[in-house]
Amino acid sequence: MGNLNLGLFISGIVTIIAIYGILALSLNLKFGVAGLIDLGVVGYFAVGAYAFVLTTAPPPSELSHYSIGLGMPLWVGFIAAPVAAGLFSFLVGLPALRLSGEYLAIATYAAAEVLRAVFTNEDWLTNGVVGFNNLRQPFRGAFASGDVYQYFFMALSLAVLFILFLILSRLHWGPFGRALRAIRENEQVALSVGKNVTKLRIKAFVLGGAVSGFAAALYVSFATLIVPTMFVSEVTWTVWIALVIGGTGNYVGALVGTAVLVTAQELTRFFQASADLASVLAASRLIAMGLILIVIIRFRPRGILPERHYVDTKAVPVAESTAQAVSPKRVVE
Amino acid sequence: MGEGVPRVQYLQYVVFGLVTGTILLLGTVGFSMIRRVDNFLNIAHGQMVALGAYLGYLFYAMIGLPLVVASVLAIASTAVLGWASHRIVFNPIRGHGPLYLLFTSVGLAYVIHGSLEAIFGTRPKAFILPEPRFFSIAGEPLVSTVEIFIIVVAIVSAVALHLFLTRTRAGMAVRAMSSEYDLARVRGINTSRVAALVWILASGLAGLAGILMGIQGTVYTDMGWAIILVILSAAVLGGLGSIYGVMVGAMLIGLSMDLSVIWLPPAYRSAVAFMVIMLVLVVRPQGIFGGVSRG
Amino acid sequence: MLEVKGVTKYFGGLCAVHDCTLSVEADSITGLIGPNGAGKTTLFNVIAGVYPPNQGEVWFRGEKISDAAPWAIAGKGVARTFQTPHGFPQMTIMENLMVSPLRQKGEGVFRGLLRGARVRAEEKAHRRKALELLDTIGMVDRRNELVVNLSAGEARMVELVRQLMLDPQILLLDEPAAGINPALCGKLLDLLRRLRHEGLTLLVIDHNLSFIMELCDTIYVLSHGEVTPAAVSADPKVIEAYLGRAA
Repeated sequence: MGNLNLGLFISGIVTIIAIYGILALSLNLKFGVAGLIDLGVVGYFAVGAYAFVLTTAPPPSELSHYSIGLGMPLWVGFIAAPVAAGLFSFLVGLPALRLSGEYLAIATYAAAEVLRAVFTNEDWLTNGVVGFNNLRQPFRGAFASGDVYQYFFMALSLAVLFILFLILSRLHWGPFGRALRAIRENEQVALSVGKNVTKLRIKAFVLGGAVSGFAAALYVSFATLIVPTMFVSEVTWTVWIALVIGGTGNYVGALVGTAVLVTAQELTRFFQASADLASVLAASRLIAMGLILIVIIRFRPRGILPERHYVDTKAVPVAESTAQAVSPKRVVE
Repeated sequence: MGEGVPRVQYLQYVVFGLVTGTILLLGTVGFSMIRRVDNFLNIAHGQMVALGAYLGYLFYAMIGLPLVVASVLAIASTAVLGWASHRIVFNPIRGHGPLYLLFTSVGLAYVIHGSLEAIFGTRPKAFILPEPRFFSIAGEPLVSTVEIFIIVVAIVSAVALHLFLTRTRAGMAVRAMSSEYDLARVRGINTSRVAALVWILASGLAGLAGILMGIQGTVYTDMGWAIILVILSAAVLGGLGSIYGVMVGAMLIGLSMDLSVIWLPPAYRSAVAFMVIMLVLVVRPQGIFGGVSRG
Repeated sequence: MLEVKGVTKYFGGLCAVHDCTLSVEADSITGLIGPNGAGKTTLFNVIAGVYPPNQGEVWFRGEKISDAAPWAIAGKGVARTFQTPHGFPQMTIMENLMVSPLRQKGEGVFRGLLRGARVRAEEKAHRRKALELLDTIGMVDRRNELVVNLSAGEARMVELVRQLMLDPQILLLDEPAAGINPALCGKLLDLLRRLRHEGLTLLVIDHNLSFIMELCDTIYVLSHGEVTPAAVSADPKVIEAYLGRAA
């Protein structure tokens, strides 16, 4: 990488952080907030990605193996991806959310693997190992230079990430997030205060799935190609590791964890020297990811930024209490 | 889809299924024992299978030791490494709860996977064995010496494990501990020593499973991830913690995977295991042989 | 108001509650006493819908509730406290209370996101109520503490007011006085009596005889999974006799 453009390299990393960050937000809603151990992250992601591609790809030619390509505008794809991912989440969640703990984990993992087998083997759907190439990118026509477009795409991804972050944070501190946290903390007590636990869990699960659909649409637009091998379980584990090192239950933590993990991984690409070393470096990325996870859990099990708690600082009516004004801190650990 | 396929070929699929099932059995029993004793899903267990396969390859194909010696060495080293992972990685965070143990095992799985890739490279390896002889029925090869060997080794190991668990003091301590951890401690069983024994046994069996996989097919760096998924399926089918249940579960998963080839494209072979598992979880979450172990 | 009709509950082969029949009158405080392991908590769990009974039915206000889910039973106005008051440990006292109210509009994804005027008004009303209840147990200033950090007695009081946030018609209390110091105990008795005057019906489990005697109008004795066929008037001697036999 002699004539590497540092700016482009960094913007690429930031884009990947934004995309994986969206997945980490989604998982934080499901696991960090609602306590659902979902090991099927890559499944909803893949469904969203294929929904995006199949709605926007051109109709199949005689040479291609796929049979669905609706050729619709890209914005339709950006709606289809979260809708399809949410729908698939619903189909998986309806039976699986009756299971608890590790059984839910195994069921979701299995669902994602079955899906991967389908995508790998059904050429009519995914165009086989060739996949789809040269995908259209949003607003690409408005930019003459590919380099400038890459900066634009980074900004677009960050904007989507930011909006989703705002939405999820707002839900987190309101009645919806509060009820989900209560279910995570104690299912029996949540039932005793009249919470329809199953329904709330399904809501969280479907919303989380839909959020990961946005990541999927951005991801395939960024890569401009889609092949089934992009959707291996390593995606799931990467998101989990990012969330655990960042801090479960904390949306900012989820993003910090993603940034740390993706940067650590991408920097190893930066040092690529010879072909011999390349494979060792690729292997060392796996080792680094594993070690970071082991070390964080050992020494900082609640992550870099632990969960925060809601602090009620509004005034108390005087008639009810002679209390001193509470300190304006919003955060306790 | 079965038209045109000779009847014998069905029998052949049964043989394949038995081979898959018996290898899987060795991997799953250890996984299930660890689940019982330390109460978490050890994702790194699949990498112990891969480790056994690669160490077997190292001692047999690279160094050139006789197969039996190479296997014994590989199994022993895998067992020691499994025990070390228990001592160094898992024991210090026991108090963090099963979920953190599971994630740590994922971390360890990546460390082992990456190490194997760094040392051996990503290209698949094969044990080079003498050409096997085939036993045929009606002119169709039915079962090879290698397949018979694998099945016999696996069954002998399973029986040996059974005798160990039921006839020896140490084995009974393992069983006591894996059914009632607290009770075992109260009754004066040295739980940390028994746990160590379980990890050595489980990892050794995983190593053996890896070697058999190597003998049967190829050795590749992703095999740890591939096998852990099937192990999870077999374990759930048998009722996660029950040692004998998962033996049956492993055989059923192995047979259903290889028999599915009769009706489904072969590429769906491993997906069949996961479909079985989703069905089982939805219909009967405690497994077909397990007691109530939900939650 | 609440009718338990011939309820039997087995765990495995073990009979925890056997053919239990009792009724709770509206606006009364009914006590249920018995030694440890007599099946009191199991009976509560059956009423609250945690376990379906093997035999028998539970009726509330002329409606059969023994086949409904726990959250639906809570929604009908039957609230219960837990013997071990864990609550929602990693949430603050205030949030523990704010979670409780039934059918919150903001629990929907879209309304929770938009937080329109109705959701805001609802939140404001719930907060005011939570502060009032915290004031009665003297914990307003501590509302931002995590429940996991409370002492057993404090957690029990929070458990009680959290369930009062539901505006229940009947409240099932599982050993409300356990772990509470004598000073707080007097406060608790006052609070429970006041609640009854405000129209709340109470069913109280305890093995603290004097506490039950002081509080309740009607007392049932449960021993070895069987409830005495008729309600025992609050005569200490009768109860001593029952408990003595059971112990």
